[in-house]
Amino acid sequence: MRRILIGIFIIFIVLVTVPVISFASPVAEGEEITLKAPLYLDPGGEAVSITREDALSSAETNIPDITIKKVTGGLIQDQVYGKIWQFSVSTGDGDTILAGIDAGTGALDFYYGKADKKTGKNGGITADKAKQIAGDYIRTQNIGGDLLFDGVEYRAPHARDLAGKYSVHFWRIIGGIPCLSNGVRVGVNPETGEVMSYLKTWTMPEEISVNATPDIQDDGAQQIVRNLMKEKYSTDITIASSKLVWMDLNDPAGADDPHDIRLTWWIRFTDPYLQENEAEPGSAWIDAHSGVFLKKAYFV
Amino acid sequence: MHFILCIFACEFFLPSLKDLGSHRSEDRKGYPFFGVASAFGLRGGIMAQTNRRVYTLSTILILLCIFVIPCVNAYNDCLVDRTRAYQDPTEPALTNYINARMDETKSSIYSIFWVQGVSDYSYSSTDQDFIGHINGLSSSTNIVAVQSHGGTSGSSSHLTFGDSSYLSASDVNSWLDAVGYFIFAGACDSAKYSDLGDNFVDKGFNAYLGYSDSVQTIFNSEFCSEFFGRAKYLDVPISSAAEYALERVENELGSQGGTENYEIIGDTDLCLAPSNW
Repeated sequence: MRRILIGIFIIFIVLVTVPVISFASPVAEGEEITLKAPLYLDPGGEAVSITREDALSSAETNIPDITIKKVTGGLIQDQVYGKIWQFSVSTGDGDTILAGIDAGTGALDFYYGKADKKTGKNGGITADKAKQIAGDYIRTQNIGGDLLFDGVEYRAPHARDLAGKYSVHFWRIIGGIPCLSNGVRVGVNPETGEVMSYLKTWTMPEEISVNATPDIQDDGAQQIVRNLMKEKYSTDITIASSKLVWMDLNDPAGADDPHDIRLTWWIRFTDPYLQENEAEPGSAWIDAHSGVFLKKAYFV
Repeated sequence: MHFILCIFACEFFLPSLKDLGSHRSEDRKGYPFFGVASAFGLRGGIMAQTNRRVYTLSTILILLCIFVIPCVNAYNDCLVDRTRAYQDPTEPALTNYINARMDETKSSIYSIFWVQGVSDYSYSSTDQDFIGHINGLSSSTNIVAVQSHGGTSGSSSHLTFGDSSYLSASDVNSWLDAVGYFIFAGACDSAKYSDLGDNFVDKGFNAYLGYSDSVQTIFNSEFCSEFFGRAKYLDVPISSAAEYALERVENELGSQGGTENYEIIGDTDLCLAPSNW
C-alpha cells in the first residue's frame, strides 16, 4: 500500500511538473523559446524630452484634419527610429491611424491608415497632382536635409474595402548621391487627394567618410554581376537599371547605431528564371570602390 | 514523453500489485493498460484478483498520465512554418535570411499579449501535415505565418509543401477544423484567386494575407517580419501594418519585389492585439 501511495505522489508530481518543464524548454519545434517582454517602455524610467501629451499634440498637428477620439499605445524602443511614441489613434472620421512620433524631437516619423477606405468618389487625382500634394505636405514637415523626387507609383487596392494609393517617393541625398534606405514616402488617396500615409527614414549620418566618386564604373559593375550570375547559376542576365547609391550594410540600423555605409552600384536585372516566374527584376549591390559583391535579391 | 511516463507508471505499480495475490488472466478484463504493459513484456501475468480498488485506482492514474498531460502540455496557440527555407537547400544564405526573419516573426507573435506559445515548424512534409499542425494548436484563436512556394491551378490558388503537394481551397475545406484569427500566407500567388483565402475565412479566420502575383523570397521574408513587428502592438489594424511593412521593404531593398501585390481577404481592420480583447 505504501508503494501505491508513493506512486500516486510521483504521478501527481509528474502531472504538475511536466507542463512546467515543457513550457521552459528551449526547444525549437513545437515549443516556444522566448519569454514575453514588455512591449511598451515606462516613460518615467526613460530619458525622453517629449511627453505623451506633447506627442499626441504633435500627431494632431502634423496629420492633416484629424480629431482624436481614442488613443492606445505608448513609448517603444524601435529598431529603426529609436525611442518613439507609437499610438493607435481613432479619429472622428472613423479611421484608425498608426502614428510614430520621435520621443526626442516630437517630429512625425510615420503614420498610416488615414482615409484608406474606398469612397467611390472620383476626385480626378492624377499622378502629377499626387506628386504636388505630396510635395506640399513634405514642406509642412521639418525634414532638415536634401530630398530628390524619385517617382510616383499607383498601387491598386489591397482589399475589397480599401482605396488604392499613389505612392510618392523622395530620396534623401548626401553628397549628391541618393541613400537606399533613407528618404520620405508619401501616400496620396487617388479618390480624394488626401495624404493617407507618411514615412520618413533618416538614419544615416550627414557626414559619410567614404569617397563619393566611384573607382569602379557602371559598366564594370554590371560585368561583375553578369560574371557572378553566370558562374553561380549559369544564367545570362539582362540589365534593367543601374544606379549609384549609398547603402548601409547594417540596415536596419537606427540613427544612433553603428553604420557600415558603402558607395554601391545597385544593379537590377532579369533572366530566364525570373521571367519564367513572372517576377520583378532581381537586384545586386556591388561596392563601387572595391568591386566586391555585397548583396543580392534573386530568388522567387 | 507521455508513453514513457505511462511505462514508468506501469513499472512502478505492477510490482506492488504482484505482491497482492495470485494472477489470473480473466482479471485483466476491463483493465486494458495492464494488458498493454503485459504486451510490452514489462510484467507478465501479474493481476491481483483480490484488490479491484487498487486496479481501478491504478487505471485511472494511468489514464490521467495519457490524457491529462497532453492536454495540459499543448499550450501553443500560434505557429510559424518555415517550409520556404527548406525548399532551397543549396542556398544557405537564403535559408539563413528566411530563418532570421522568421525568428523575428515568431518573437513578434509571441509578444502579443494573448498568445500562449508559438509552434515552430522548420517545414511541413505535406499539405495535410500543415493543416494538421494548425488543427493541433491548443485553442481556436490562432495566428499562423507560413513561408512557402505557391502557385495557381486553373483559377485556384495553392500553397506548396515539402513533398510538392498542393494545399488547395478544397483541402482546407476538407481537413481544417473550425479555427482561426489570422493567417499570413507568404507565397507566390497565394491570393491570386480568392478561393484559398476564402476557405480559411470560412473556417473561422478573420483575415488572410497573401499575394496576388509572384513575390521574391527575400522581400517576402522581410515583409513578414516587418508586418508582425508592427502588428504586435495594441490596436494596430493589419491594413496599416501591411502598408508600413511594404514601405520598409522598399527602404531596405530599394524595390518591392512583388510585396506590393499583397492582398487581404477578410477583415482589414483586424488587430492582432486588440485592447478590447
